[in-house]
Amino acid sequence: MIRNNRGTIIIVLLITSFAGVIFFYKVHKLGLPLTPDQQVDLWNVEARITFDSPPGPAQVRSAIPLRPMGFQIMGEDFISGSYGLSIQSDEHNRYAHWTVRRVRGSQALYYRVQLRRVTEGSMPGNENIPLPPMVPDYGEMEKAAAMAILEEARRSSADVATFVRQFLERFNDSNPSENYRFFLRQASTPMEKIHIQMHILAGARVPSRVIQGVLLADGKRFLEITPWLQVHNGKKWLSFNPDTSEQGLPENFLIWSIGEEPMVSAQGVGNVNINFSSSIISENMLRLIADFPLQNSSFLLNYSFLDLPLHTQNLYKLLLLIPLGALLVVFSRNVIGIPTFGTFMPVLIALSFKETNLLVGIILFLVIVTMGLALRSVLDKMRLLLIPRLASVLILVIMIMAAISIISHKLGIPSGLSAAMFPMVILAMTIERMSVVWEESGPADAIGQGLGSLAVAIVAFGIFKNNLLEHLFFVFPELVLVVLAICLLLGRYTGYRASELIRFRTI
Amino acid sequence: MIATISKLKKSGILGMNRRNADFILPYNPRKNYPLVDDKVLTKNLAQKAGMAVPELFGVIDSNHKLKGLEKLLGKLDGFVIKPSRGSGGNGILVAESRRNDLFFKPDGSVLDINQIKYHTANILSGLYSLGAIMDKAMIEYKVKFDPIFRDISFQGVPDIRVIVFKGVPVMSMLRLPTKLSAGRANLHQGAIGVGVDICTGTTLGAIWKNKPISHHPDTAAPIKSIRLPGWDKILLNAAKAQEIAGLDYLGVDIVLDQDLGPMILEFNARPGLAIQLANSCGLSPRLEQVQNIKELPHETEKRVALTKKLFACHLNQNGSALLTF
Repeated sequence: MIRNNRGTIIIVLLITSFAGVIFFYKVHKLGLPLTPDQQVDLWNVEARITFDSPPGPAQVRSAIPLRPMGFQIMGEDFISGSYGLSIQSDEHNRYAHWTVRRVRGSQALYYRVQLRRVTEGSMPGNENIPLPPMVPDYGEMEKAAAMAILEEARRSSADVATFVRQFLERFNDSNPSENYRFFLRQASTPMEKIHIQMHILAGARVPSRVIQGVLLADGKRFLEITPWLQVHNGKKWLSFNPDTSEQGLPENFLIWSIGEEPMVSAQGVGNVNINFSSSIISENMLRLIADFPLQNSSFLLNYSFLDLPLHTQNLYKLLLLIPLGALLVVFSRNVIGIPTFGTFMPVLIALSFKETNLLVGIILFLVIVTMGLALRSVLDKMRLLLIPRLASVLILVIMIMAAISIISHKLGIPSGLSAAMFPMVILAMTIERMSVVWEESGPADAIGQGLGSLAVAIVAFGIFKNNLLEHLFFVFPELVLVVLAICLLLGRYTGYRASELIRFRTI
Repeated sequence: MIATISKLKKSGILGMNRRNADFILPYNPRKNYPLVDDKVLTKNLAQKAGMAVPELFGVIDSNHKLKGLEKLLGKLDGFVIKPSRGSGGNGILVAESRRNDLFFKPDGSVLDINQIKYHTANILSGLYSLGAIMDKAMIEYKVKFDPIFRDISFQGVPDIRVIVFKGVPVMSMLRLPTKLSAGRANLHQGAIGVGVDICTGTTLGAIWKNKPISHHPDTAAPIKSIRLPGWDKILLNAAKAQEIAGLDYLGVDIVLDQDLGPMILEFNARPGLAIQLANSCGLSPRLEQVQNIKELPHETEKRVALTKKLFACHLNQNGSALLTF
């Protein structure tokens, strides 16, 4: 089998490894699911804005997430009641504006967002590099303290990240130095604290900003809004915990807005409050990928079947399994040695079994073929020429199918209706071939080949009915190349067929 | 019971896949297939090369020429109508004798001209033919088989199949019609396959319906140890066939006529594998032996001599072949 096969084997290896690379890229990098029912966890985050309104018009503005780092927005909705809603966004933030002309009493508005955790998701790359801030107009004492602080931090640091860390460590020291104490006096709320940190860092002309967000937890209500410090190192924004100097955001930190502005502001109302709650919900992964391609979507996903209209998708779900059916036929005939009528007839019969269900399909197939053979034997006596005879058999097959549908419907057997699903041309050819084999080689050969075809069709049906295979070939159509490679290999298979072990048993 | 792969390998059995991939595909150029697939062409070629063939009385290649069929058959007592591109012995109609306007098949059943016309029309429509939509019907001489076959043949003409590889006859078998095969000489239709010693033309064991037999099932006559007449001429014809067919892996079908001797019947570019069962011997070692010879002689006679040298066999006491490789 090895002789002259190097070319084939090289091509097979190339095809297989090409398909393998795409497959592993799609599984590991794009995260496409290997099973049809693979679930993915989504965060469902709800912001509830409450306020009391005196009689009259009301206007509420709330920040909503724009491109939260580490998450992808899969869906969002607003519950606004009689309020008008408009959404605006600027470079960093997005805002929902609720307005109403006449309202009174305590009010509640909701914003709900479904988020998927993405690993490689970072801040969008097209963000502008911020200009270094001007050194603030420090007071005399303030300036001395700030410069001392910055000088000290600079001495023990190598880059912006370590510089900020050094600074924050000393800032949060339980026993801070005199210079820090000067500033700490002014910091009572977390936001004020970050404000001061930024104020000092501006002395070193380090760009910094505040981000506000919530730390998500499953099933938690009344999540706290946490401000976080971000510093730009010339390439990207680095996040720091303003209280601990720890670098990097916690895993489930959802950035809600960027900047010091309060998340909610309102006009004409009082007692404005925003409350967050979060929970984890499960979603079918494939549907999610189909509905929401990743932001940094790959070529492979943009040019995939998932992008096609749904009915075309369903068509390809089936079509992509036909290579497997063809492989089955190759295997049945060249490796096992099962005789079949026509090369791909079993595959086509199996396709119709998918419409009719297996048992009904087999029964209908046997009924149609048996009746067809009986009628064909009558035609035989009339000595018709080949093409008119084939046409007559085809017409008879259609009449048999129609009769089965009508009679079974009258008898209240709905499954008989699916007789219409059979490929009549294939059936007619099968009947013709079978009757010729019957005449030439005897009924044993004819029935043997008929049963062989049916057996292969049943196995092919098992393949077509398999959800996992359907999913795999639909999501990973490159697997068709693997099937092609196996077909090429089997094309050079020169070993014995299993049937030959029986045929030559007397040797 | 089934055989193991190693047992088949040890016996040198050639499987269908290897026959196709290692012999038919590389050795039989596709462009030469029409010569063997069209039996009219084969017949003309064989005749030109000076080989005896059953005489062609006429060819019917269109439906309107069917009208002329009656006239064509007018003076004939017996004839064979077959598709020019038929396969597996399908579509062959044999008329053995006639009385007035009626013909009789070898089994004694009656054929009238309408039945013959219907059969011919079927042939024309390609019913029996290899992937062809249209075909021609050949009307040819019905071979009167050699008397040596009288007791071991049932209602039909036995033929001799020789496998010729690169012009060297490598294995042969005699095919005997039976009642089951309805006079046809195709093994899968129920004919008997009798192994024939390629050197001497002596019959060895036989198989029928894939099982070994020693006597003809219809006539009860013993099949073994019959020496076929004119064996050397048969081998020469077979070896020469390769030259005119241009196919290096070829099945040559030869009939023995009582008056006219060996005649080329047809060539087969995809000869079957049952010949190995009839000979109780695998084809692979013999094919490989021929493959291993760097330069094969151009002269037909020398290639036949090579057959005898390579596959020389002795008959042992039981009459079965003991092969010496």
